[in-house]
Amino acid sequence: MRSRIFFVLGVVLWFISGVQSWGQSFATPLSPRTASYEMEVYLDVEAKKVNARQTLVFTNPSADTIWNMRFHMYYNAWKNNKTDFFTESGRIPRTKDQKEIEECIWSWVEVTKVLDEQGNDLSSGMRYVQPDNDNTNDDTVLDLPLEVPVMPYETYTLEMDWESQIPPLMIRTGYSKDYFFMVQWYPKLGVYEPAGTRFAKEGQWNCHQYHPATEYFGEFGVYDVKLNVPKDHVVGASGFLVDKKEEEGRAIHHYLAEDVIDFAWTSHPGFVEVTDQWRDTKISLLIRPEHQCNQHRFLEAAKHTLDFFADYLAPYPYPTLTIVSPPFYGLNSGAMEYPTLITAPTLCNLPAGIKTTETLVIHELTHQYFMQMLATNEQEEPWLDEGFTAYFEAKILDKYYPEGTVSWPYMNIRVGSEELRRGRFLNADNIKVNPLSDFGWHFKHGSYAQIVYGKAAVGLRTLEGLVGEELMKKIMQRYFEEWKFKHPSRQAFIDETLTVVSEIAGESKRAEIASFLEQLIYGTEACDYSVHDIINKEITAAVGFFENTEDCVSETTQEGSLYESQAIIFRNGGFVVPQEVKIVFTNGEEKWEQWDGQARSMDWTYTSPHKIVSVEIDPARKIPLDTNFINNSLTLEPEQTGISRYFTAVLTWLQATMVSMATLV
Amino acid sequence: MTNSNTATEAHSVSVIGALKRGFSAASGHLWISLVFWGVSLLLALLAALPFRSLLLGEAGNSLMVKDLMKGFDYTFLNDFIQSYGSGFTPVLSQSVLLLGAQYLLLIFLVGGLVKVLWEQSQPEYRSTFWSGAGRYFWRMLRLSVFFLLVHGLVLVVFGFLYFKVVKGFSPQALESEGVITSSLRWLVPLYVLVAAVPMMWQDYAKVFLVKNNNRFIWSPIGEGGSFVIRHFVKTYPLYLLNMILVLVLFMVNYFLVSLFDISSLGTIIGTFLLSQLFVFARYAMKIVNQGSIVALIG
Repeated sequence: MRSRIFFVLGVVLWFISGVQSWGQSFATPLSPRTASYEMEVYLDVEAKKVNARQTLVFTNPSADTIWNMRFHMYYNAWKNNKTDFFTESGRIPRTKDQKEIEECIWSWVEVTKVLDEQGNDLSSGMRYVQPDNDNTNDDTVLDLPLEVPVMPYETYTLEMDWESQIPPLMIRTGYSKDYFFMVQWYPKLGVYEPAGTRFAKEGQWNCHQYHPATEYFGEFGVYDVKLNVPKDHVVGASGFLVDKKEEEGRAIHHYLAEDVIDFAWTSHPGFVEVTDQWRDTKISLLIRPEHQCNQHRFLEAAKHTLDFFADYLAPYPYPTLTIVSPPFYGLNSGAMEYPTLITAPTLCNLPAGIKTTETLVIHELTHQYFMQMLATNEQEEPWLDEGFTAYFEAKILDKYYPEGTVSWPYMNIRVGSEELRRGRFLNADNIKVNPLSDFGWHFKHGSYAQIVYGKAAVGLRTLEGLVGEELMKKIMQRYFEEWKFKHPSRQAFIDETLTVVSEIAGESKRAEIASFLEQLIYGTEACDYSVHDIINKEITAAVGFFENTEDCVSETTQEGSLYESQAIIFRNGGFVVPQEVKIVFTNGEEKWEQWDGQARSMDWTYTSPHKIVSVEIDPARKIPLDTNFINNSLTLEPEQTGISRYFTAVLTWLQATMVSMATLV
Repeated sequence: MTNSNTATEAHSVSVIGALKRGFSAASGHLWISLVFWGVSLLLALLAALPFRSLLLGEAGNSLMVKDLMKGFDYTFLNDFIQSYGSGFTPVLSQSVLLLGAQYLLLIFLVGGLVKVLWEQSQPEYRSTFWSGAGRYFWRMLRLSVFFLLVHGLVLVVFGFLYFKVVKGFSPQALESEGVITSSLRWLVPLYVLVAAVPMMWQDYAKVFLVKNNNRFIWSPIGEGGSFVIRHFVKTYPLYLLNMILVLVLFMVNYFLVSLFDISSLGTIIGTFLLSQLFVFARYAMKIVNQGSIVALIG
């Protein structure tokens, strides 16, 4: 009787729990769900291999008849040392370490069987292609000819068996000891772009090779994934856990992720799961015990970000958010963003004044909006996700952590996120090396980070300065509303921006912003305006011969002095931005001048009993793209007090060094 | 005075007694501290004044300079380095040269200091000081270079030890990053305790060099080392005590400076004067240390 009661209770609990889990499914799909996957995955932790069976359901989004499919085979980036991944970037090792070469530790992913819904075996037609170049050693794109085409707007099902050799963690994905971080790990369908979508002139697969600097572009869908891993492993994945079954030392974790563009997961026995709640979203932090000192920092930063976007754009719609803080030996998985799952390393021995943990959480979580919900092409237009994310990262950090991203009591060191981002951008070797509009892998000589993140973020902040904070918010809201769960291009952002500006601020402002965006996105010029000079010239009485050459006027006295005062401004850079100029006179009177910023120089002349004492361009620092704020102002009398502070500090530091040297004498 | 005599003398002076005599020597020769301090101020001014001119010339008429009163201004410094950074190169080169000059001058002055302390010359000690400085300069220089190499060796050994403990900072090799800082908790104090030995050895060698007027440095190095080892229970605690006093001085200075809210020229001058007092006191502590060692050798 008791056992029967337990059985009934068990069934009820199972049913309830099942209903609760599945109840997290969206009643109405958020996205078109063009490519959905069902997968059964077996992780062999000894051989470092994955064996999987996946069913792909693809819906043709176009009126085209499609005769082939293209898949990303990311793990083939580590198949040999002549792939694009190894040969393109100087910052990533061009080869593996000697031990791995000697032991022939390379990685790959291989489709072993593929059947269409009629049961046709398509394996024999498969071939690797290189749409970006002629590097035939690169097998990161698989072309699959179909026997039966995908008809317009119809769905098409493929069954695939595949296996992969997992790479040692080098960048983003792989294993390190018992830590597995599985991203870009399966044959992933490219994005089919019908004519007129983004830059497509005719229907095409958008499926680029795996270039090291660039990231991803994916189609929305549902991922129904069963992960078979060792029983003692703690698993985290995109989406939510439907159920978990254990058998013979293994555990099968069943995850469902809806309306996402990718699926990522991690498996590691050393994780502790810390959970928290934000509205209807469960936040799971997978963290090692030695990093739990910072767990509150992760959760606080995540909730600040979610609060910010709930107000600024729209509430985070997914039922889960998983934050993975990798072990120290898994640092190479980096700080990365995947749908509903992000990674953010932390170190407990960093001083509290360095907000790295918060910065990474905020940055990667912001990607849930710019990359995941607004699914831009990170390979072709990386600034649309990284630049926007860097812009919002600075906004959020400066709002919730006003003490600064880097702070130290000595000399009152407080560096805000926004100024840090601007500084890093301006410190680039060459800020003119690429326009923002370049493909990700065309950024040369280390310019990717400074242009894609830096210039874009500082440019967006400048846009905010030009249109005002409220209008900027409206622009972002419109861009998000119009393009969420779609694939916007830069033109989409430009169009939405100009529409909002035109509606609210008028056509003149629209033209100004159109010019600004054109220069920002397609140009490479730098922005620098300076105050060249202040001239105060006393107007003297008229003396000499005027009417004739007989009556000389020699009386020079006049009541009260008058000055002809002039403020002279230069445009040093090629980037043109309208400017606001503040001119202050000896009596404290202020004149504010507006200038379209077009000419190479500009001057204003005043006749007044008072001299000009200072001139300042952009006093509110609305234009952080300006490369030099120091020359944005000029005063007649030098301001020495601030300099005295630095002078005495340097003097004392030198003496402190000298007296320390005395210990060695 | 023979070595056995010095040993007897060392037994007769306690650590605290030696320290008191060190303080007495420092207070009796404030003028020497003033010379050390004055030299450092003069040399630092030679580097800091061009820095001030650079700031004033390039940015003095910018309203942005007002922000410097707040303290560290990242944006100002970043823009300054980006736009006028080339001006820093000669200033930095000059600073390095001046630090080198200061090192040589210190060696010069230390010869005089040790001679004055050893001979306990009063009241005409100023002439003794300058004559000692000149007479012992080259020998003190060779001695300093020798001990610089010893310090370097100690540093390399500890650096190597740390590198091994943290497995070359390799994320793949380390189970956790904790060892990177946890190992410093024992390695740094251990380093200080070990590095203190050659430092005090050097101070004792200097006294023996002046005492015996050796032509070559090997004899005072040997005698100094021998004395330190034979009287380790006194020499080492005395040296550690001197180090702790300097540390306390440093902390007091940091605390006092942090009390100032620097918002005006007056507070800038106030903190500057306080820092000068600290620099002066640090040099005075050098005399205390050397004086206490002379007292212990007798």
